[in-house]
Amino acid sequence: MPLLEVKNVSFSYVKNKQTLKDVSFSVEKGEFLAIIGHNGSGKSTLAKLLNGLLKPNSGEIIVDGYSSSDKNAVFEIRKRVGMVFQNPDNQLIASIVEDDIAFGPENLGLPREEIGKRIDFALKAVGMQDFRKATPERLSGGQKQRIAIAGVLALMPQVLVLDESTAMLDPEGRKEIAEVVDNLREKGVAVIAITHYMEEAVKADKILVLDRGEIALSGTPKEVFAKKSELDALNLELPLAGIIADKLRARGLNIADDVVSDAELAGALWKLL
Amino acid sequence: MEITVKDLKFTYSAKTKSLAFRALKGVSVNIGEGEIFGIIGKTGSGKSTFIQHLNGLIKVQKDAGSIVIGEYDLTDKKCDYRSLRAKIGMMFQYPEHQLFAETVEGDVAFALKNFAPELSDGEIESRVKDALALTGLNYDLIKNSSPFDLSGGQKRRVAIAGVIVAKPEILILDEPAAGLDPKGKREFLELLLRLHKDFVKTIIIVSHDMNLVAEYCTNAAVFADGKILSCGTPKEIFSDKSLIEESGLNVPLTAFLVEKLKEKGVLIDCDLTVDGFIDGVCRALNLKGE
Repeated sequence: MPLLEVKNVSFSYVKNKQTLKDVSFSVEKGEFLAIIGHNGSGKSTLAKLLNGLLKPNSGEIIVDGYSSSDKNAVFEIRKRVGMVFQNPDNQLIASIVEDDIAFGPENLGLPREEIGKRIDFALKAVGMQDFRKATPERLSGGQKQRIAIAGVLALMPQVLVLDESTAMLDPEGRKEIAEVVDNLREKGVAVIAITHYMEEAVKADKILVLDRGEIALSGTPKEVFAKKSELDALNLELPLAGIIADKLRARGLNIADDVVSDAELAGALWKLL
Repeated sequence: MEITVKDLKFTYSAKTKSLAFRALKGVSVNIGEGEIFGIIGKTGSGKSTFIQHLNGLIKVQKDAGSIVIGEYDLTDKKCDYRSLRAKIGMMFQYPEHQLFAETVEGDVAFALKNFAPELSDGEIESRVKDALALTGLNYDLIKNSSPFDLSGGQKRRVAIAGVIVAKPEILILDEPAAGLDPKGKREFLELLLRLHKDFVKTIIIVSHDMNLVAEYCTNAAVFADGKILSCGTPKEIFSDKSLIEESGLNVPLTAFLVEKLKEKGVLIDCDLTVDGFIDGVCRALNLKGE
């Protein structure tokens, strides 16, 4: 059984206008799923459904055996699915890093010792051990976002949902978050990232493309980015490496059709020149 | 209008010693008319503090350097900020969050009514129409819509229409493409290029997206810790390895590829735009064939 299963989920904010239509997919332990789609395609709504911030109008979401259609399961689902949003400033609440991270576990009523352990674990997972007593507002954007992630990790979620969590970060911050994601996947945490950066999506195991609330395409990055005309019609593009590969091919250069990542393009040029 | 900044310093909470924070520590830069100038650097390096000085949102502190923009001396107490701000348009991150009026027309006309109270209703209407047309929006279809009912890409167009309606000579944009989907991003950047050919003479872009800087900027300044580490063309900046490391930035994909091929002994001499790089690769291949 997959860790998270979305079964025929539909949702609307207002009558007669469906934001999500019959969406189904599943995520396994340790898997990295990227969700892409143009502005207004329903990505963020989907994210909020995944941890019970919103409830499906029809269909169900099953996380680790708990179903969204069971009223009593919503807290179990939230414990298992952690969310990090775009702006860490909206998600940090305490004036000391360790207090901020303790907030979630304290609300679960965990014993003091266990909370201490959770803080250690979470800070280590995001590489911020040295900032335990720091003030969040004095940290850089990337550091703040890592603290926001640590606050979620302290609840030991099995799924981490990142809703454009790198959009406001500088290159270093983005790299830091990518490292955290890799680290979590090794620990078996599934990561679902909503992003406008095709360069991020290309690193995922699977990509889901949303269009007007429906799944328009899905598959591995190679499969999805092979469908150029479909992507174009969906307001999306290839990652820059794929665009450059295309242009080189148009100039008669022999570059394999499936080149989409930076490293692959570098490899192809290396062979050619 | 040329922008000349000399030894600009700025301290937040300067009067409270314990909280004082030196955000700018002596910034000097010259931005010529006609440039698309990139401002890059890590979060907290002073980029935002710097650009807010350029249209007087932050005033130059006493004995803290100088800024001269065309005929405006920003250290002069009599500097006419009102007319300066009409000539320097500023668009912040996520400008769609600043939309506020009931209709698109009201939102776009707002700044113009303030900057040019002498304009008649008819003149304002035609200017609003022009500004929306430049951004690719149809005035008649959209003028009475609520800005909040529009898509993300459309909202951003309305926001920039509200800035360019005053026909600024200089446009300053903080992360202009963040949060837009790939096509929205490309279209928005193409719009900037069109404006640059039209009445906007100089564009200043703050961005974390090095691919964007390499593709569109004529020159760029690298900020770090309240200072400018280096200033030059994207090619000069991104081929300086120690500079990139020191400033905590990364390089655009084209520079990464040039560097990789250099390791193999293949030198590609090109500017770092996508088309420049492709030409460079083709030249290198031809040389190899000969």
